[in-house]
Amino acid sequence: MLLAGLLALTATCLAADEGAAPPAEYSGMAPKICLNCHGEKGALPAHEILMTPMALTGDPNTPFGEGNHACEGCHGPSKAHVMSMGREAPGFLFDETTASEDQNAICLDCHQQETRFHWPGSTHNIEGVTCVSCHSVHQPDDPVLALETQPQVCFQCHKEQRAQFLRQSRHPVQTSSNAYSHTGLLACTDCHNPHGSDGPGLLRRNTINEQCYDCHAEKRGPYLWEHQPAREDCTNCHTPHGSNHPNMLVARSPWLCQQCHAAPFHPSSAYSGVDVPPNDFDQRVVGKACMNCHNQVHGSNHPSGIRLTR
Amino acid sequence: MKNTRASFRQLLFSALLALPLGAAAQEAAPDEEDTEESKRQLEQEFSIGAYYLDEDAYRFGKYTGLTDEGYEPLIDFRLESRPEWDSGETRSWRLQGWRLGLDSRRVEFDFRDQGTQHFNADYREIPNNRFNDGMTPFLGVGTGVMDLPANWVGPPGGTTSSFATLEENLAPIDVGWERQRLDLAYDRNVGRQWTFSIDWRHEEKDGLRTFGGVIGNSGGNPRAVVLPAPMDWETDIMEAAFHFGNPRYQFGVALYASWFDNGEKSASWQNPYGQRSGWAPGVGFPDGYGLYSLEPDNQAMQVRLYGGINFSATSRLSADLSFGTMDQDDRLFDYSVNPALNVDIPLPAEVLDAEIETLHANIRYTARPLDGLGLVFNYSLDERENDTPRLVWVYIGGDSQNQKDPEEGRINLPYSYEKEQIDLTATWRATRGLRLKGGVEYRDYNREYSEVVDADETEVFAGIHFNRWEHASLSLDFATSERDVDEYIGNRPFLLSHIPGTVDEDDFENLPAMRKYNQTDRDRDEYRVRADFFPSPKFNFAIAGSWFEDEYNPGADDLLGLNQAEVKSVSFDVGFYPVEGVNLTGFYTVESYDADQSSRSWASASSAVDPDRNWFVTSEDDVDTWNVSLVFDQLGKDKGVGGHIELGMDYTYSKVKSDMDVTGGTSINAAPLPTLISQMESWTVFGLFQINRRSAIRLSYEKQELRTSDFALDDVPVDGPSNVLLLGQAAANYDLSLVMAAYVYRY
Repeated sequence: MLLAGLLALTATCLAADEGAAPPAEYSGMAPKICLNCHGEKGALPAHEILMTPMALTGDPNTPFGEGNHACEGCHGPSKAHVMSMGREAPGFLFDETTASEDQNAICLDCHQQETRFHWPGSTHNIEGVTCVSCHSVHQPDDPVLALETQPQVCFQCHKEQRAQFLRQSRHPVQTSSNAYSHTGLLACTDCHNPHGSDGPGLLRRNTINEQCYDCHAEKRGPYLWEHQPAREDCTNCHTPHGSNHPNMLVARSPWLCQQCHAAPFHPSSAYSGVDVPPNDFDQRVVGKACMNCHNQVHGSNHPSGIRLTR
Repeated sequence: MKNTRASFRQLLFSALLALPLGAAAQEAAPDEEDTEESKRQLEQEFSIGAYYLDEDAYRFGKYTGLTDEGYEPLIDFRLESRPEWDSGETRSWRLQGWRLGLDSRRVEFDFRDQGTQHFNADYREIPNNRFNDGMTPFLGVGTGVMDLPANWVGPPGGTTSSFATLEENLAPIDVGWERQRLDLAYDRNVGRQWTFSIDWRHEEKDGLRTFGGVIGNSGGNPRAVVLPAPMDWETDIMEAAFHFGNPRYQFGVALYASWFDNGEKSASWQNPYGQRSGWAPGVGFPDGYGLYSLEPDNQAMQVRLYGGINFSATSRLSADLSFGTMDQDDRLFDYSVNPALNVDIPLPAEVLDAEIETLHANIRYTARPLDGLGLVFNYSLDERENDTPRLVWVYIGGDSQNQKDPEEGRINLPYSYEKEQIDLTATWRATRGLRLKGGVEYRDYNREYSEVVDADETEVFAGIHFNRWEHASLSLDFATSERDVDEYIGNRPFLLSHIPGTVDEDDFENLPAMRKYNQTDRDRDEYRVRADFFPSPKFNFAIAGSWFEDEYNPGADDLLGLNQAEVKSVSFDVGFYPVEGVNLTGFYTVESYDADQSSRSWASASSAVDPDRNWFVTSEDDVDTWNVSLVFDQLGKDKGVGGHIELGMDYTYSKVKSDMDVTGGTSINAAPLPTLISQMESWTVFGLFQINRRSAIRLSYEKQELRTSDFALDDVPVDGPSNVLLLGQAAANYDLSLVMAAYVYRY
């Protein structure tokens, strides 16, 4: 039944595609005629496109390659726009008047690399994000492609992460473009593929743990004595964008550990203000708390490591 | 030595500051207005200068390497060659370096023969400075063997207060590490639609981290020490792929491989505590040692096959299949490092031969059967089959006792799991500017050796995005999910880790009422709202809010563990551009993280069921984050290129206040915990002063203050706890200024 439904849907889609409008005419004068109005001092300047890889005529696959209509390669046949001196709209507009799927289809017509394989049906695709929401295709250096400037593009929508990266325990992603102390050494795309992926949260790898192992390969094991939540999902205990607690933990130890562990004696004891300075220096609260002894929380490979102390 | 280094830096700094003056004089000639040369894009850039930090601040330079008071050189450069757009050329290259004088240096080389091939080499150093105010009496720091000094005093039965020579033997240590990472990437178009790519990453990570080491077994005899453990890691990752892509078909095959190598397989330490009851003879100082294994070498391999077909411009089917292995076969250590301990039963294996087989599959169908209507059907499978052998290990508790009897051996639990997910999402563009979204997601979990074998979760979500108005847009999103477990058997891992027949079915270690939050029943609700306003090109503002709530074990008040967690967040953004060249932007985010958990303090069968021993923790983290940035980037523009000035200031404030209140029944002695504070405030003033077309001066001044309080570190001496010898570091605090001056030359 599912298969029949999919076939019916596909047939509907094929029928819908047949009703496409006839193509309009190209001006045949791009890009020079376009830059007459969209030059450095014109409205909506686009002259810097000539400094981007998109404009290289030597590459036959670019919009500026021979026969690809230059500006009109992306903006559609725009003879009417040119002849009317801008009174008529160009053939294709990358703005809110055009459906995001249609805008993106223009880009995906050429950009079919592996990294975009999961774009259809991905989170950003479903949310109506367009390529030009993030990419500045007319700029010589697209900010979203540079490690230092990329986070500022992502933070335009991901405001919680922007705040989290200013916590004391965080990954080194650039949080301010002007302060040297906020220098970024990683980009969002070190972990995420914004074009879609097979993993959760648009991660580049299939699972959260596989993503973390890319930089924290030592945690991969497999260990003799595994810690079940660590084996399954690092974010059971860690919050990777930033935390107020050491090592990007979601909560303080020992209470974080006690959210799962209530064995007799010290694992289930109540630790509170009576156990810390100036009242006391309880060994299960100060220093590394539980990890003062149970150091192998990611798993132990020692034959006597069942308590994750070896 | 330090003075010589400082003098050298001062000399260097003076020389660097002199450079721009000389260059400016040399180029004092009028600008070449309206010549071809003046229109040529300047692609090469060098920045040379210095940073000056007015006090030592190890933590300030956590990721930058700016840690010491005084001068550090600033060297950045960018060399580039781009072809003229209409030259017919396709080759371009760029060589760029950042912060070459610091420990956070980076160099990248990029070569592109557009349409044919692309090569990129990226070298980064990433420091991670943790603290430098810790102290340890151990010798051999940085190696895998740490001994105590010859005059160490560790009397029998003693605690940390009995270490009479501790203070005189404490030596400072810097805890932190540095990654050195090289990424090489090459891809080549093989024909118009085929691409071959290969990426290689080599990473080395060296330094010191903290590791707790304990000697002892039970009954109050464990004694611990926090050690600076060595880190000497190398990781290589290789990815190679063939990809075919055209607007109708895309498919490919990819190989991923990872190798991790640990240069230090273990860390051992001399027991500083004297012999005590419960320890076998020879465990205490001076003869006893403890040893923990460090991470074993491991390898991973994954093969991926994928393919997609676009039936039409509006319908597509894709599938992605990955299968792989993760394994390690390091030689195992003996049950104990202490030769005095009796070991009659040998290890069941010399190497573990641990292996996990992974399978990941995804099938996705997307369609737009009607104008504006989008459908996404998705199925995914994630399976981890842990094939590590299950063996009986007759272990020794904390290098401190003779080997247990054979029936007290424990069996390892190689966890496996399988997750399946099916989801259907529909989007509908009802009219121009109105977009609706809705869907349902079903997840099924199956685990081995865990408290819960089968669980499922159903999520329903919906959203609306409205941008019909000319000057505003609005979006609302909602999701709710319910996770149900078939049966939670709290002692299942306990029973499975014992030799059958050695424990009763009713025996348990974890309290039966405890529910682990990653496995138990959960109701989750999520709301999001965002509104953007653009009243004029000169002014915009936005409000975004979100609310998440997790409720665990709903309707079961007698269960323990994490009961509830809630996150609320509101952000305000504003942008004001009164005239060309003036940009005022800012944001304020306020967040609240609340959680409630419960447990029971118990030590016997009777106390295990005594509700008067229940205790509760209510925690609340309140976070305020501000940023204001004002930039003037067109000052002096009317004077031509020379005289052009960019000026700006940036203010950032982040404060986290964490409160935890612990309460309990009549048998519990509890009090609220001191508030944890983390407050960072940063002022930056910066400017770029264009001397002429080629030369500029870049200046910045940053004042940053960090105030943190941490009850686990502050006012806790190394020998504060009776049974744990700490490193004694305090929470990070500083108040400093950073000045940067650089001469920028372009040609």
